[in-house]
Amino acid sequence: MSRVILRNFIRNFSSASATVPRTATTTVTQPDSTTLQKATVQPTVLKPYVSKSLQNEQDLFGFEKAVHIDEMFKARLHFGHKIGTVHENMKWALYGERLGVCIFDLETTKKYLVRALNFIAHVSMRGGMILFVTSNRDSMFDVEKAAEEVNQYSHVRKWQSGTLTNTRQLLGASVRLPDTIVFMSTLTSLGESHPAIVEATKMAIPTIGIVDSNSDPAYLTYLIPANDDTPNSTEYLLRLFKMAVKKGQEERKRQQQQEPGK
Amino acid sequence: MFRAIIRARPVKQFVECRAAYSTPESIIDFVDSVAETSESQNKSFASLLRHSKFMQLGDFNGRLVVGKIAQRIQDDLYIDFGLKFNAVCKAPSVGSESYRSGARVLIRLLDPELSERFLGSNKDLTLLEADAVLVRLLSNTNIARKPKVPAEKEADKPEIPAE
Amino acid sequence: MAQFVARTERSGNIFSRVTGLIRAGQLSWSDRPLWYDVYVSSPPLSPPDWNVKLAKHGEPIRPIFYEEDVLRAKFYKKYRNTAAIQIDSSKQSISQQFLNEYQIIKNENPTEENKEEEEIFEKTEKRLQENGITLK
Repeated sequence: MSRVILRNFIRNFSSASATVPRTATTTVTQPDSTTLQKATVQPTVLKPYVSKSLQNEQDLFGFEKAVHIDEMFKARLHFGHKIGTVHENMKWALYGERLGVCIFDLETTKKYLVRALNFIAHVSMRGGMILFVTSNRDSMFDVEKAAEEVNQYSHVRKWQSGTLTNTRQLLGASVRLPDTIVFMSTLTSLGESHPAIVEATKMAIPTIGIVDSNSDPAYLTYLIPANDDTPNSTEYLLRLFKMAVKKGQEERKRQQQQEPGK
Repeated sequence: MFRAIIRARPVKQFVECRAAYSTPESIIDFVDSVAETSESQNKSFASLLRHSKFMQLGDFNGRLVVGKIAQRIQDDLYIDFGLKFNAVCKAPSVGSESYRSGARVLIRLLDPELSERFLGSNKDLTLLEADAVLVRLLSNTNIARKPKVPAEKEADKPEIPAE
Repeated sequence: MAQFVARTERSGNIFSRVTGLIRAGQLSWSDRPLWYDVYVSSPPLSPPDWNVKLAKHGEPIRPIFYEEDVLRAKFYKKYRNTAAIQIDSSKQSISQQFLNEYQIIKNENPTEENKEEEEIFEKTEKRLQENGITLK
């Protein structure tokens, strides 16, 4: 594939940059058309074809042990909104309602959180760019700071339409888009879904979203059902996200030191 | 008896005790809290929830709750009392300057989240704050406390002013 | 061309759209996005499709109530002004102390199982007062 087209793909799919070490370089068999078709329904059928680091260990970074229900509880992750505001597609994540207040089942939240952390760490290990987004004004500084601490990016102000889909118009040159976007809150102050969610989906960028009981999970890739309003909850989640990014970066460094040729 | 026990305690503990509105710790209490910390890591969510203070509130409406001023913007106090949203109350004109961020206050909780349904909407709109009435100041972390003088007076005060 | 396929966000989730491109030969397997392999090995637990109804859609939410809530309500009805709760403290609330004591007293008298609840309630009040807990 020519360089130009490749660059196009980098822009459109935030594809792996050429510097990313791929185990696939040692001519691994490619999936055939039938397998790919099956994969659209059952992605895991492609597992034999993907990189080695994903073959054996399901929880390579050990997040299962790093996430504790009692810490989540203390950080108030289980508090949802009043039942009058509930989104039908969030009921699956609730333990129940206490006198009109939605309560998340943190056992469920933990499963989803561990999966999202694993995703972030693996993307980070592959040198991916991660963008943290929030529309919550109380936590914008915390989100900015957390992203900076792990050399990643944040967007906490008003979203200009086309920031992801119309980069050429807005920014001139072709720009590398993020490889994953993490939404610390998904609703704007008007109660609508953050415009970046659909833009990311258009550009085939995976999204991770903290979804509260009143959030709409549509278009988000990885969901984390939890309280997105209380600072304690956001701080706790940011701490875990930072840890995931760092673990990925450390693993990347370790791999690069092992095979300095690449 | 109450006073005697208070005198016997170190100041710091007393403050905590006063803030929590609890009277003497019995041995049962002590055993419970020790068990709680060592076991909580293995506790299921169901068990944590059932034994949480949130459940102990029972019906929230009118419940007395101890909160902490998280932020003060002019006369508005943003009081964190341990749930999802802060309660927003006006600082009283008397002794207003003691209501600083970090101070402990007693509030009467009315609603943990204000939400309303507007015409033409099929969902409630949340105002992202709790509704509560400020009862009084409990302590102020910014003021050095002298162990002797105010302690007993405070303890003798009626806990709630007549409403 | 890639743009044309990629931007129809409702035609399928990001994974199936990218997989479609690979299948059609518009995107080579070696140029697949950086996240693609990670997605394959641990896909989302809920289908990431914009138009699915997730579990319990349209169902009522289960109310959370416990046995002990009955006694708790009774306690608060009487002592509305005593039992301030500090949620972020590990110290036990008075209402909980009351509930615990009530249970102890109830268990102390197994022979009098059919004893009036009122009586146990009063005994519990007394016991707490004896321990220096003022109920008003």
